[in-house]
Amino acid sequence: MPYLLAFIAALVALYVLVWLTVAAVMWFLIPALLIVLPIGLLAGVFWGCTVPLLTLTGLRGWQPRTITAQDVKQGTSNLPKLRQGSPFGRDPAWPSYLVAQSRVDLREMWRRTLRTLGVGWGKCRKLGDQWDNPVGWAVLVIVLGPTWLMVSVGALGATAMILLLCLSALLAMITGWLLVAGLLRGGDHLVRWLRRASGSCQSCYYVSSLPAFPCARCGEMHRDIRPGLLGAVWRRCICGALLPTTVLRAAFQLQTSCPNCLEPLRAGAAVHRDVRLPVFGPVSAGKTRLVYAGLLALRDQAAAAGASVDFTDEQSKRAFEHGVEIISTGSDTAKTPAGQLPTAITAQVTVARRKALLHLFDAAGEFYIDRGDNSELLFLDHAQGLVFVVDPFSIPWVQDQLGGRGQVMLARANAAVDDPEQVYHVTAGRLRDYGVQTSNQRLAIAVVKADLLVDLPPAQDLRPDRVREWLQEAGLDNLVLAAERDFAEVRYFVVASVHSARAGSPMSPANPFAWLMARAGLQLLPGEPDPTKQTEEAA
Amino acid sequence: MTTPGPRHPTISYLVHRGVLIGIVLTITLSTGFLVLSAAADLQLWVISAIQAARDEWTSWNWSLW
Repeated sequence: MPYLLAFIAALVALYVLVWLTVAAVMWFLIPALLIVLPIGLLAGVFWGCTVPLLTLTGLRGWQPRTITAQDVKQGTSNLPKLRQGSPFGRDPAWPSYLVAQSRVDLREMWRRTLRTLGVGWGKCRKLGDQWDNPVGWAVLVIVLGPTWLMVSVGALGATAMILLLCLSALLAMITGWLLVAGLLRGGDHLVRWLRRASGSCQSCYYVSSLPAFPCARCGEMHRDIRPGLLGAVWRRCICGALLPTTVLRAAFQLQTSCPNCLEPLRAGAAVHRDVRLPVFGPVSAGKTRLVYAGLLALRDQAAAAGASVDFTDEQSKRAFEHGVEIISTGSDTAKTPAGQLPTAITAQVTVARRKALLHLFDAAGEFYIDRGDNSELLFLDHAQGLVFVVDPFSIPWVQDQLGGRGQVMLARANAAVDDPEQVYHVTAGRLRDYGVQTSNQRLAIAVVKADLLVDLPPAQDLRPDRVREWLQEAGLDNLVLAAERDFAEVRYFVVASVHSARAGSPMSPANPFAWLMARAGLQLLPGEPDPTKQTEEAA
Repeated sequence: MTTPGPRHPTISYLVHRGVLIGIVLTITLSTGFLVLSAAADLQLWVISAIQAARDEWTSWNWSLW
């Protein structure tokens, strides 16, 4: 009986306990949760908005890592790798916010939200450890856990929404940025392509359509100034200086430099059409004199036609002035130092509103005698045409014709010793060895020293329209044959490298250059000089 | 030759971040406005939910007895 009574009492007690528990849940816990959970959710949303704001503004020291120009230089900027695998890496400039820093900022916003929520979960766990009793765990599991879960859901949802909207805005900005950069880059490329612009180094002879630009403030070299990841319209150098992005704009504001040897290029390089004409021939053939007299005649010819030939750099100006003095006074030309690579004489030719750079390369004749000596003459590889200088006094047939006056005339003409045919073959062989397509190039063969030869018996049949036949008659038929086989077009000129040979005359020293320039798209006169036509008119 | 450049964000960075801050502020203020305008409804919903829970308990409680 007592057992039965005890059992009934226990049942009643259990019932009361259950009743009290359910009453507590229904009267206190559920209403409390109904109030706390939405508030937690709203607090989470507020926190999810606040964290990105604090991250972007950098308050509380939450600023994301800044991707600087130093990072770009060191390759730690997360920018995509260069396609061509440049050995120099990216230029030392700040990257556009849209391509590097924006990703860091968005990532940091998300990470920071996760981190702060993680701190909250960590505190919950710590409280659970401290309240090492069933009631504490119940409070933790039933109240604190769900509340912080709602905070987390609200915060993550709000941050995700913010990131999504920021990403959309960034994508819109990237589209605009791509459009501007693409237009600028395309326009820059198109203009330079239409002009056939390139920058050739007067020192190392390297030719590139993309020159390097040193920063005007710190001197750091920018090897690819074009609009791109480092800026669409402007780029900021590592030193903080603002630089223009297109080659056309940069060339007017900064010093243009050779990307190979970093030497300063001539003004207008890579912006204007670039015409490179090497002059080759034996020692004492008259190459240097032809260059001086040719430039002088070209200047006069240009002035007469309303165009201009100017020398913008000091080196070329000095060389030209020296040449003018020699040609005007009729004094002898100094021997070009053997073994010394030539620096180009550059003239800026302006026809109407179009500008071009004309580079003339005059190396010592010793370079052309032996195949082993001319490997460094890289300017031969990038030329649009070549001028081959033939000294008539070096031809045995001419020497024979001179008879008794021969020695006197040879001394007066300072005749070349080496065989012109050998010099031609050495040079043509070099071009072929270096992969130059001579079949696409033009060659002007200039028989010089015509002023000395003109009244002598060998020159009886030497007329501007019969130079080819005269060379064949003089025994250089193999040279003529080889030249016409090797080159796309060969034109023959007879030239007097003296001041009296007026510009535009059939024996003007400007003629070989003017013809090659016209063939390279730089027409100095409305009609290119045609010795044949001019002789007929003179006759 | 190399001059150490500034380490702080450039003006371009600040301008772009300004745009993003503007977006975040707009979202925050819009959310705040929505919450405030819906606060009365939310309060009503919470009160009615509490009331419903208590009513449920009352009916259950009497059925228990």
